[in-house]
Amino acid sequence: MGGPELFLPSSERELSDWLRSRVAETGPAVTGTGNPGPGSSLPGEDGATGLTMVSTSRMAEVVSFRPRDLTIEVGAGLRMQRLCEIVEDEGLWIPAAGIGAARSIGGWIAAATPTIWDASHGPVRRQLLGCRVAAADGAELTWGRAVMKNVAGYDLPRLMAGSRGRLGILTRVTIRLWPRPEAITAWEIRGDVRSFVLGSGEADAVTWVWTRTRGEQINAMFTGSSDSVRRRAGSLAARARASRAEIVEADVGLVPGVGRGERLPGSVVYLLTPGRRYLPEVFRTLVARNDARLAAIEAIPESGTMLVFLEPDQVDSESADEFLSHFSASGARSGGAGEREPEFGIERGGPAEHQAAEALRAQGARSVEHRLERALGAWPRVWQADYL
Amino acid sequence: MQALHPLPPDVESALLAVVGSNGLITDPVRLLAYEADALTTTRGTPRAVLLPESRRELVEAVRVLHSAGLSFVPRGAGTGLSGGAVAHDTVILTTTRLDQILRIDPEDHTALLEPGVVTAQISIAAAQYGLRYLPDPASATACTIGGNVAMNSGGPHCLKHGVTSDHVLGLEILLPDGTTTWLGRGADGGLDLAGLFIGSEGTIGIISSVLVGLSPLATETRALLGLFDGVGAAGAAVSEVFERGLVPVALELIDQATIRLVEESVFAVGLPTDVAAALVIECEGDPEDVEADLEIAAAACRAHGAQEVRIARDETERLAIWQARKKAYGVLGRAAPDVFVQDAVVPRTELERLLPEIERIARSHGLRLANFFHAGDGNLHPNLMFDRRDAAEVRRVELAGSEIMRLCVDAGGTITGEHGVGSDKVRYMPLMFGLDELDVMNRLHEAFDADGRANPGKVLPAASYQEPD
Repeated sequence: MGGPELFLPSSERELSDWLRSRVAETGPAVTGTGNPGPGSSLPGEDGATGLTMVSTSRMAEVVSFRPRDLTIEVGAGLRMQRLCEIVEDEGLWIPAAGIGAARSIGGWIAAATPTIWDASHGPVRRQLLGCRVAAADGAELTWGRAVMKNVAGYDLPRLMAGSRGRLGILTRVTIRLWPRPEAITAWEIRGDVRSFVLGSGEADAVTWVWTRTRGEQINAMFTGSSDSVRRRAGSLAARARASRAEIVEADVGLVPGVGRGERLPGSVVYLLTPGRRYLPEVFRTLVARNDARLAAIEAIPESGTMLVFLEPDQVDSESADEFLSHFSASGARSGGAGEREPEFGIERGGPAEHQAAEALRAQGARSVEHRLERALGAWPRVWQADYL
Repeated sequence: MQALHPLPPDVESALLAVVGSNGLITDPVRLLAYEADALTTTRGTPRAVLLPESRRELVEAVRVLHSAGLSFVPRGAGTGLSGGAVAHDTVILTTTRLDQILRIDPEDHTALLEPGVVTAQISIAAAQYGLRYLPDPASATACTIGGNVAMNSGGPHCLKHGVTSDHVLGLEILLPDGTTTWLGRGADGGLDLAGLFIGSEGTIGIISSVLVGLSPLATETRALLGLFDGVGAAGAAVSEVFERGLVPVALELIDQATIRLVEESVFAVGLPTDVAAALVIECEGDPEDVEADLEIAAAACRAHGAQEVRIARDETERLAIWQARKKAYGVLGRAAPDVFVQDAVVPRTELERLLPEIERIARSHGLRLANFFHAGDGNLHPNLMFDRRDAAEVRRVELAGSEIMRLCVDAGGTITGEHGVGSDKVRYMPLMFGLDELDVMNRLHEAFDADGRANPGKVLPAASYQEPD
C-alpha cells in the first residue's frame, strides 16, 4: 500500500470546494495536514484506506499585521520560523520557542503543544485570538476577533486549539503577540538538580531534560531587560554553586526544547500530563526503568507536562504503546491536574468501585465529546498537528 | 406581583423533597429580589427560586425540573451586567449556598471549589500557602466562581494574567438532563471540553464544581497615576506603554466625569477634578524590575503630554489610586438612578480615535457619560446614565448604545469582552457572526440542550420558546 494521497489547496475556497465534493462523493474521509501529534499513528499506518492528507503549506500569507495592537493574522500553513522572523523584525515575540521551526502555526495551534512559556505567558489557547476554519461540510467559519478579550457567543477559538483538526481544518489564525524581551538567556544546570525542578524563584521558565547520552539537566530561561536577566541569573548561579551543581550559560538557540536548532534524540513522541505534583515522580520512574527504548524526556514542571521520546529504530508502534501502557499501569497519572475528577474528599469504596467510577466518568467525557462532534459534523480521524 | 405560572403542585412537592422549605422560594414578594441581576434595566419574574445546599441537591433539583419539562436559569450572586441571570417565568437555580472551598493543594497549586465560593475568598484562603487566584472581576468580593466561569469573567489584572478561562483546569458540569460529568482542558489529548463550557452562560449546563490553578503571590506590586488634559492623549499613552515593551499587570483609564463623581463621594482620594482622564498603571514582580517598569510607564505617559505622573510611594497610596477606579461604578448612583454599561473591546490603537467619538455620540443624544475601563485590553465600559422612568430617555440610551456598539464592531472590535451576551446583547450577535457561525453555535447548543431549557433566550438569537404551563 502506498502512502496517502496529498492535497495542497492554495486558498480557503479551493479547500472548501474540495471538502464539499468530497462529502458528496465519499463522506468526510479526510485526514490532516501533516505529521500527527504526540501519541498518534501516521495516517494509513493502521490499515485505513482512501485517506487523503491535506496540507495548508500553500496557505501561508500574512493577512493582517498590526504591530502596535500586538496582533497578526496569517495563513495556517505559515512556518513558525518565518512567522517569528516577521514579528521579531517589529520588536515583537511569540512565546512558542521549542515547538519546531519548520512546523506551521496552524499545526502548533491544532496540536496545542505545550511550551516552556505556558506558565509565564499562558498556553496556546491564550495566544489564539481568532481563526478561520474549513468545516467538514465545506463551510468557511470565522471565530473570534483581533482583540484581547472576547466572550461573544461560545468560545470556539479555544475549542479549536488542540482539536487536531477534528472540528474542521484551521486555514487562518489570529494570534496575540508580545513585546520582544530585551534579553533572553538560557542556563544549564547539571549534577544534583533536585532543588531546581519545580521552579527556582529566579527564572521565568524551567525545563527538566534527560537524555541517554547526557543524563539529567535543568534549563533555566530568563527574559526581560538586560539588567533584570543578569541580576536574576546571577542569583540562580550563586545558589547552584552553593549546592555544588554545575551551571553554565548556554546558547539559547541550542538548548533542547527551547531553541530552533538542536532537537532531542528519538522521534516517537508521547505527551504526558502528570500535573505539577506528580511530574517529578513520573519523570524519575521513567528514568529508573532504564528501558533501552527510552531516548529522552523533556518536562515542563510548572505546567505539569512532559514529552517522552522513544528510540525510533528500536520500537514499532505496538511496542511503543506497550511501553506507555506499562507505565500507566504502574499507577503514575497520565491525566494531570484537571483532566480527572478530583476525589472531593469522599470515600469511594474499594478499588473495584473506584475503577467503575473512573470508567463512568471517562464515558461521560466521551459522551460530551461525541455530542459535540455530531453537532459540528466532525471528523474523528483528522489530524492537523504538524508540518509537511 | 405574582409569578405568571406558579409551579405545578406535584413539581413543587418534588422540589421541596429535594431542597426543603428553606431552599425553595415561591413567595411573590421574596421573588422580587431575583427579578434582575446588576443590569437593572432588564427584569423578569421567576416562577420560583431554588437554593440547593449541596451538589446532590443541585443534581436532584435539575432532574426534577427535567422530568417536569421545566426550564431553569442558573444564577450566582446576581452581579452580572448582561441580564444573563434574568428569568422570565422560569425557575432560578441559585448556587450561592454551595460555597465550600473543598480543597487547596499547595503542591499542585490548585483549589477545588463549589460554584458558590465568593471569588475574593479564594485568594484569602490561598494566601497562607503563598498563593493567590489571579482573575479579579470588579465585583470579586461579591461574585461567585461559578458565575465567573459561566461568563468567563475578566477584571483589571487580566491584562497580564489572563481571564477566568486561563485559570480553570477542570469542571464538573451538570447537563440540562441531570447527568453530570467531569471535563478537563484536553491535556490528555482530547478536546478542551471544559473550555467550551466556560463562558457558555449557563445555556448548555450548570457548573457544579471547579478546579482552578493558583499562582505565587507577587514579590512586589506598585502603581502609578498619570493625569491627562485630553481623553485621546490618554488613549495614545496606552499604546505607547506597550510600544516601549512593557506589559503591565493592569492599565485602566478613568475619565473626568468619573473622577468628579468619586471626588464628590465618601470615596474621595484627592484626585484633581480638572483633568480630562487618568491612567492607573500597575506593575508587579522583582522590586528592581518593578521600579524600572514604572519608569517606562511614566515616560510613556509624559510622551503624550501627561500633566502629572504620581508613583505610589507605599501600599496606602497604591490602594488610594485603585479606590478611584474600584468605587467608580458605585458612585454613578449619585448621578442618576440607572446606568447602562457597555463592554465592547476594540484594538488598543483605536482608543485614541474612538474615545472622543463615543463622547460625541452620548452628547448628540443628550446623555451623560462616564467612562472607566480596562484600557490595556481595549475593553471599553462607557456608562450612559439615565432614569428608566423617563421612557424618552430610555429610548435615547438604546439608540446611543446601539451606535456605540456599531462603532466598536466596525473598528474590528467585539460586542462583549467580559460581561457576556446575556439577554442584553443577543440582538448584537448578528453584528459578530454570519448565518453559518450562528448555525454552528445553535447546533452545538442543541447537542446539550435540545429542548432549550437551560437559560432560555440568552446568548443566541433564539428560535421561539414556549414554557409549558
